[in-house]
Formats: sequence, structure tokens, C-alpha cells
Amino acid sequence: MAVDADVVRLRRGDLNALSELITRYQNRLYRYLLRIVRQPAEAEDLFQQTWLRVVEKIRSFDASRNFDAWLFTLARNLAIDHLRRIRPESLDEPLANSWHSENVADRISSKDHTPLDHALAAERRTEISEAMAGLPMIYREVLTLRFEDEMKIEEIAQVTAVPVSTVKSRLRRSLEQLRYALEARYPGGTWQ
Amino acid sequence: MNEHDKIRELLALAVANALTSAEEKQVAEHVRSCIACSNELEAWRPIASELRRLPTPQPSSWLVQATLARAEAKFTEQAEHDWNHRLMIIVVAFAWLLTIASWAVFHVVSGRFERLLGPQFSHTWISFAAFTALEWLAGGVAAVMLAIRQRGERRLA
Amino acid sequence: MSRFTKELRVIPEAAWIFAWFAYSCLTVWLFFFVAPKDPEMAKLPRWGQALLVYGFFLLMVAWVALIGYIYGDAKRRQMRYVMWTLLAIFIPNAIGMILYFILRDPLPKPCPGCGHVEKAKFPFCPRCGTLLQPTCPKCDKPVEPTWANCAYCGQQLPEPATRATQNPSVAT
Repeated sequence: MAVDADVVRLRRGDLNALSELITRYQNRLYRYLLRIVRQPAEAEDLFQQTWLRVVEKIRSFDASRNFDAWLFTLARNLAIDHLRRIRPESLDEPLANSWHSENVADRISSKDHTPLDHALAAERRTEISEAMAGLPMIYREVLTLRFEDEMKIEEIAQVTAVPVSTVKSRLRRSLEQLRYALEARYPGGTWQ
Repeated sequence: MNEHDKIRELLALAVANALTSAEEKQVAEHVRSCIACSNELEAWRPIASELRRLPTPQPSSWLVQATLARAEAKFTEQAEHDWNHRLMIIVVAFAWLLTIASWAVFHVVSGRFERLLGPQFSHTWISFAAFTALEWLAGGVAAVMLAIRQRGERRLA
Repeated sequence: MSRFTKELRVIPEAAWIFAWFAYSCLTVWLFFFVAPKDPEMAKLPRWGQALLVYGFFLLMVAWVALIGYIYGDAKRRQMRYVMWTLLAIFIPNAIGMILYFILRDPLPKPCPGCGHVEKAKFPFCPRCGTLLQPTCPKCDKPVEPTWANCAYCGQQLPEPATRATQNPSVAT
């Protein structure tokens, strides 16, 4: 795997490898952090801190291990520590404002069903984003890792430090809660 | 009824592709004959597909650069730190080797000057200990003086 | 090139020459002329004596090389290299050397404006005034790239890539 070669180079002290790794993971890592903390500025700060942590610990990282899982685990631990310090309640409860800057009033008015397919699709995406933002953190996390990142269940188990069976049950419950939230918020809409 | 409930539980995981192949076969078979469960499965699909197609949030354009700058600085700092650490271990080991070697030298040298020191003195452990203690004392005094001087200089800067 | 070999180059040639020359002389003298006559040494087999003499004096070579390293290293770090070299030589049991490695200054970088090398801790070049390292916008103390806030006055710092390395006081 190409990624592993970069990791090996980084362990040997090649700074170019660091640049390539950061660029390669930028979207995935940022997206994961954003889903957890739900604030872009904090996600960016945590992004930087994660890479600083990587630099600190890369020497003791066994290159034959899965770098993805290790990276995301570091990010996760930093994000949870951050939330514990700043907004401990957000670890369980839904956030009052979702990370979308859309006005709630705008949302309601645009519910006049437009016939355009892509407008409908965009609307569905927004609805799902907002519903997801309202879920507890461990549910948001497993949804983003499975669907947005397409991570394997075993990898998710490594990152979240729980057994595979727990990942599956979290996945199931998160989907059920998501669907319930969608049907409750947009009754008679596209989610029934 | 029992089977329905079991299958229902698997449907959500089915759209997440998180089922074992045995479970997948089970679901596929059941869905073929049961309309209700088939509809349920179809109700799950849009959720899964929209989740997969959520737009990737974009970070600020300078995030990678900024992170790289900080990470590179940390990296070189860390490399220096590791190197100094290794160096110190080597130098301390060397210092101990020298201490032990100095006993041998003392032994040899004092052997030559037996008449001055008295034979018992030149070979006993006490003399080694005294010699080493004197060396370390001299070294310790010099160390303290240097450290004080250095700290004074740093404070002025 | 590994870090170790890079650092070895700091040792001046003279140190190596002196070390190996002294090594050859001393070991030859001791092995061929002193050892056979010495009552204690003669107890050992010939290869034991060889091991003792040649092995022991390798320590001496290492010692001279370390002294040479301290000389070269202190010089390139703009420290008082004569003082440190003497301390490394005369403080017994390599305590002087340990002290040196603990107390040494960081490596200075050449000034981008005029190429002059001065101590690493100075934020401005004493010859041409160019700003050498990013400083806090509020209190002007030098700041590290890994910092998010100034450690001296608490001011929040801009991102490292955009930090000021423009000299505020260069006469144009």
C-alpha cells in the first residue's frame, strides 16, 4: 500500500513524507473531526493537534500496523478530550445548533417540493446532515466512518476501541435513530 | 413472527453492508417472499445512499500548509530531542567507563609509588573509593559553578 | 548520511590525528616493552595483554575524539569553545562533557540577509538587522512555530506559515 511507504519514510526522518501524508488524509481526517465536534474552527485546530501528536509518536509506531486506524484513534482521543474540557454535555446530547449555517426559517420555506431532482436531492442531503448532527456522538461517529469513510467494521472497532459486535449494534441503532429523527422531523416526506 | 423480527433487525445493517454472508443470504431469501420486509429494506436504501453521498466538508485552504509548518517544526524538534537523549546515554556510559578505568590507572600508578603511600593503602578499596570521591567532588564543584554561571547569563539574555 | 556520521564530521582532523598517533605509540610501547616485564601483566596470556592494552586505549581515542567534538561543536554554536574544551579535559570522569551537552546553546542558522552567523537566541542579526525568527506581534519576543499563543504575553499568534518574517525596522 502506498500509504505505508510514506509512513516508513516518515519514521526514517523524511519530511516530504509528512507533507504527503497530511495532504492525503486532509479531507477524511477533517471530516471525521468535524462530525465529532461539529464546529469547523475546532475541527481545524484538532486537525493540527492530531498531526503534532503523530509526529510525537511516529517513532514508536510499528509500520506494519494499520496507519489509518492509528491516525483516527489519535484524532478521536484528542477530540474527546477536547469535548470533555469545553463542552462535556455535547458528548451525549444533541447540539442546539447544527453546523449548517442555514437558517431554520429558510429550511421551512424551501419545503415547497420543487420538481427539480437535484434540488430534491440537495434537500435530502441537508435533511440528513441536520438529523445526523442531532444524534449522540458515538452514533454520528460510526455513521460517518462507515458511510462517508467506508471504513471496515474491524477498523472502526479498532478506532473506537470496542468489539466488532458493539460497532454493529451501534451502527444499527444509529441508523434507526437517524431514520426515526427524519420521519419525525419531515413527516410524510421522502423518508417514509 | 419471530423470523420477521430477526430479519427486521438485520435490515438496517444490510444497507450498511455490515452483514456476514450467512446473514445476507438469510435476508435475501426472506425478502423474496415477504412484501412487508422488502418494503422496509427499500425504505432504508435512500438513507444509506444519501449518507454515502454526503458532500465532503472542505477545511480552510491554508489548513494543510499551517499544519505542515507546525508539524515540521515539531518533527525537527523531536529529532533533536531524541538525538540528545541518545547522546547523553552514551556520554554517561562513557563517564562510568572512565571512572572504572581511572581505578585501574590509579592502581597502576600507586603501585609504582608504593613507598610513598604504603602498600596497604595503594591497593585497598578504600583508596579507590577515596580517589573516586575526590574526582567526583572536584567535578561536582565545577558543575555547580558552571551551572550557576550559565543560568546567570541566560537570565540576562 | 546518518545523524551520527554527520556529527562525527564536527571533530577536527587534528583531534583524530593526535588520537591515533598517541594510540599507536602508547599501545606499542606498553604491549612490547612494558607488559612483558610488569609482574601483574605477565600473569595474563599474550592475547589477554593485547586485549587489555589495545582495548583500554580505545577509550583514550574516544576521549580525545569527544574533546575534539566539543571543541568543534562549541565553536559552531558560537559558545566560548576554549573554555568548554578545557573544562571537558580537566573536569574528571567526563563530568565536564556531560555538563557541556546539557548546557550547550542551540545551533544558530546563518542570517538570510547577510549570511553572518551569530548566537541562536538572538532574534535580529547584529550586522544587518534582519529579523531571524518570527516574533510575537505584541511583545516582540521570539516565538516557536508550534505555539498557538505567545508564551511571554499570551497574545494569540497567527498561523506559522503567515507569521511575520518581514523586518519591521529595515531601512529601505
